[in-house]
Amino acid sequence: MEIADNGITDEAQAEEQAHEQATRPVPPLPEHLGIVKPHYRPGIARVPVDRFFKQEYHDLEVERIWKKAWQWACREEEIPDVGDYQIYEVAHLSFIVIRTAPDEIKAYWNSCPHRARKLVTFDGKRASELRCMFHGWAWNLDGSLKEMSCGWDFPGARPEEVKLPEVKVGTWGGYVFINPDPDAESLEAFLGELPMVFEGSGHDLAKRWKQVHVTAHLEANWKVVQEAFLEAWHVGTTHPQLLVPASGHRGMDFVQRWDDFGNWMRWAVGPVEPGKKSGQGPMGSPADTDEEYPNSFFDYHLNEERMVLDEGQTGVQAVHKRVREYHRAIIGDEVDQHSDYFMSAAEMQMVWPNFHPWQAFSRLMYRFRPYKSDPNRSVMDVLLLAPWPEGRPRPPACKPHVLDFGQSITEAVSLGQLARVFAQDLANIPHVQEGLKSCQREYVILSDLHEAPLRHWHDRYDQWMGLDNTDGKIAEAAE
Amino acid sequence: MSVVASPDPLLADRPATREDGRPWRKYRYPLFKQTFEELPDGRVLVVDDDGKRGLFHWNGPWIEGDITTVNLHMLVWTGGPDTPAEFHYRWTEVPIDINRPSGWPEEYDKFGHLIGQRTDA
Repeated sequence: MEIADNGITDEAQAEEQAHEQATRPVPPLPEHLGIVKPHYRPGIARVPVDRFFKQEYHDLEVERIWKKAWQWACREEEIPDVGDYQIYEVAHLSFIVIRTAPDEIKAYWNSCPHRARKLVTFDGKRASELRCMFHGWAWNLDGSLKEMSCGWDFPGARPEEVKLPEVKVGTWGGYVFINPDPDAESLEAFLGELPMVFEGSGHDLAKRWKQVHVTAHLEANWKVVQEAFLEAWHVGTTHPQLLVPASGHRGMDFVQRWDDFGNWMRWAVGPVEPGKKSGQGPMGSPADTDEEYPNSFFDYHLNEERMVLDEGQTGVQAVHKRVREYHRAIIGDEVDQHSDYFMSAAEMQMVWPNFHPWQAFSRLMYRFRPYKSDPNRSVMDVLLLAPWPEGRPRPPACKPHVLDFGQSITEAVSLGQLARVFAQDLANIPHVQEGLKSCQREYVILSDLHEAPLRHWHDRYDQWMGLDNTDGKIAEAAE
Repeated sequence: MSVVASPDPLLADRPATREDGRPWRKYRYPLFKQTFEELPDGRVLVVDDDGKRGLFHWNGPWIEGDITTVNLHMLVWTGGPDTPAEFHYRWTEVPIDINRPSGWPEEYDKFGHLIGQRTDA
């Protein structure tokens, strides 16, 4: 691991930093940004298209990924009281995540040990037991058998057969994860350095409130949807209105970086490297004027009353100031503990296999799951985790706004302009799904730099699926 | 009804604002040096720096003009479904009212079913 000098290498960026520190006490850029990993396995990749729509891949994913991987199930604040529970479902698997004590959360397979009826079919509050609505067997919150109606009729039934089968639970940053694999490594070991990125830079996600949760049902394989959010290259075409903020402008020319942390990958946009200042940004198009940057960042179009820069102020400074003052109104002067980096820069972590927490004031989190047993349908979750002032009660977690198949995500108004941005992404999705099935070449090509995280993800997919020596194809594995 | 003065007759003929009172959307696409401007009836006028123009439906189909192919997503962003004015904010600025139990500003109560406010509170 190479520790760089926080990447403050570009003159203009250093100028920004100097301005910031001259006007108020500001901590330096977060240390984790100085961790630079080597470019991931240079070269392009060819990924077979079968895995995006064929049933056998879906079925194998259930066995080798969804029954083996750590996966986010709910937020801790969604089950604040003993007996509160949430259902977590992925593919056709269903789990109950329940608070069994003030400081303990457990998870069970959501299936009665008797005839396998789902034990619960909706989220619950302050339950004193879990009781099957078929024949009435009941369990204590800790999974032990409480009541077995007609127990006399089951001579020889073993105790381990009639207790609730448990799955592993771990928590980080207020997120509750489950893992159905009893032999899985701990969540802490799995996440590795991830907490360093968040808590280590003053952004403890456990101190966030789930303000927005949108659950969208989509007509595409979960990997197709996820991959629309695994790279930023598409911004130039799919989100043309974001071209300027994505490309940067004076003093904030961005360079994209993908860092491989093993079970997760970090996408960061940071200052350009020496000698690489392009003035173009990764999308190849800077703003025509300095004022264009803040106006595009906040989506002021040309017929609106637009942001005007103060005397001597750059566009980047205008954005930083506005974002900082917005958050000052919520968390007070605590906001001054954070570098300007957190006011505008994008940084996302992609945790295997489907969990995407964004850094800091971005607030965002994505999750992608297969929908029941259908390889051509999926579920996408979007969260906004908002800060609230220290010493004040945390607002209650919101309930998900569920969008059915065919509903536009633009109906999720709580996402603000982001709903329309997602609508652009999701407009591509069904066409990608259909195109994969009519792909004459039978594979897609992934690029060296921009699509490094997709290559990284598919390499892990092949490993977990046991396809790493078969050109990624199940059929060849069987031969 | 007043009209917006403009050299392009399509722009000159449109009402001063959209039906909800907000200004017609207008964006520049720097990659292709084109300007996209919203028109009534779901149409979008595209003009480039050389003065060439093209008229499109917001969802893609070309109607008339020298410019016949443009970025579909830019058409949608300019002339397609829009966020209600009350919710037209960047996601980092989703409003918070720390003095209310829900955390949402009072005026959003009417949107409770859409913004995930607790129904059991």
